[in-house]
Amino acid sequence: MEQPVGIDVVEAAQRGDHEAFEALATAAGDRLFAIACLILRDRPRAEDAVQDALVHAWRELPSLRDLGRFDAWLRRLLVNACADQGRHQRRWASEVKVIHLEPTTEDGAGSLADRDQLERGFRRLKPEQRAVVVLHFYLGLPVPEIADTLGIPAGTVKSRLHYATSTLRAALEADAREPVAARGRMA
Amino acid sequence: MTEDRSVEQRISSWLLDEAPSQLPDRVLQTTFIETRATRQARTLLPRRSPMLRFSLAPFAVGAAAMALLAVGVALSLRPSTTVGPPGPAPSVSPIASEVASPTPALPALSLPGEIAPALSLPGEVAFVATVDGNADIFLMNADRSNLRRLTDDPAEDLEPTWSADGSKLFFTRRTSAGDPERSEIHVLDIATNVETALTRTGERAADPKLSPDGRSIAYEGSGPPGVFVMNADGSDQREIFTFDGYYTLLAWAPDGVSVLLRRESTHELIRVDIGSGKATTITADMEARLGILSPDGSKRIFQRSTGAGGVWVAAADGSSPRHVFGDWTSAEYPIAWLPDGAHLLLGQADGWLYVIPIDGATVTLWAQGTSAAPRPTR
Repeated sequence: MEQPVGIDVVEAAQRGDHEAFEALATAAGDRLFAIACLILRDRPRAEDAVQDALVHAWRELPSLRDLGRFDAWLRRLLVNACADQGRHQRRWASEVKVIHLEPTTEDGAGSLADRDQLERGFRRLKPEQRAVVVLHFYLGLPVPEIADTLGIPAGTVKSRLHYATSTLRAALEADAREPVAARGRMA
Repeated sequence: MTEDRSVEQRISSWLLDEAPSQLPDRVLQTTFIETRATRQARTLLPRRSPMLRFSLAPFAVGAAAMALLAVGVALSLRPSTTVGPPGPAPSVSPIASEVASPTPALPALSLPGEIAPALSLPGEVAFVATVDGNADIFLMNADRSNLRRLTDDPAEDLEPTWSADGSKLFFTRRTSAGDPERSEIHVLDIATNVETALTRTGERAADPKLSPDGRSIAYEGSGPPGVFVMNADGSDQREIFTFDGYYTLLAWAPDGVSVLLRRESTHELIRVDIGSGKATTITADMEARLGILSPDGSKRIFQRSTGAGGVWVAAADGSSPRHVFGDWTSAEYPIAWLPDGAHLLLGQADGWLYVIPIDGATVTLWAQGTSAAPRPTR
């Protein structure tokens, strides 16, 4: 769980205090990893993205003028690192590896069919669309804050969010139309 | 709406289930080994600097690399004055700092066509670029020469839009660190460098759109969220339309008495009458007639909200629409005519701006940034 870190720690890290930076990175690490995993759907790439983002953060931290924006800034570095990871994949959709955890429930959102259809719909999204979905539906960030995090207009966030939600809804509806016997895990 | 909420709940639950709980320790250990061996890049910058007018040089655009390479700062320092509604005057102390722009790698292009290394385009373009983690507004010739910084504030400056004569630049300034819900609309007089806060809402006032006659500004506001209109000097602020979902304020309609919105849940174009606040849905066959007029008044560009979407060009009366570029997912940023009337400037999801000729021949990488606004020629 991400622990709140004071602005004084950010300031110390900005001045080159590596222990302060380690405290920042440790506090943010789990949350960053979760975001990267959800966007990239690939643990090794997510680890690389987190590492790239943190190294970038250390290097560029002295240039951050508004320390209160550290969290949003770090998230932006991570999303950019995820996009860089995504660019390394020549065929994004076909190379996605599915992260399957054991379902915790069998009803509503946790149903196996839901999970597979959402996974399938999610694969169709571009990395930047995935990022918006994760920031909104996982972190619970409102549209303006996502725009702030990603450095893009709020209207763009809304468009991406709408497109992504439509895609995922279509995936779920397709599932609902399929005969029960045809449902199941993806190959 | 209920169905939407259900889908959203299912997405949230799925993501929560899918998220791993812990970053492996070895990742942090490896990271720290690398960061201990890595020097921090730059000297500490002042976190709160007064508004300064910089000229930026050298600005190099490598034709081969197509990247903004370096921005040297601090040749001329000219403090601005904030006027308008009462407020504390900014303290001014000259600060000279070296600011280097990021050196981005060539982005992976999702655009068709080739990248042309050379541009010969008239006019100037204001655009938002993020330098050292903070968004400010810059001005650059369309041929990518003569980069200048227009704003330099610890807050983010976004969404520039010009007055009709190109003498003033309206923009959104985030006013509270880490809180994108707090922003105000400012105007900068280019000749005098005098900056004026037009709104003092304490909440959110953003995305200004100047009316065709230059007398009014439509913008997105809060309390409750919706479309607001004010006079160009900031007076007579009033809400004309309250949002009942996700909307985006797109532009003024050519009639100058209504504004166009997009309802994001349905992609529908909505026209809202300024006087009455009445909203009507725009049919697909009307889209072309509501597009942005070219500098010579002969053509319009517009974004299709139906079918495959994309950027289209039509005659000024909306006839003969022709697809220029992309689908609706790729044409999500503001598009604008360049002064030559033959090229469009379009932002993309990769954070770069592109020049696209309306004949669709060659797509050109222009600069890293968003929210470009070509300066009207007098």
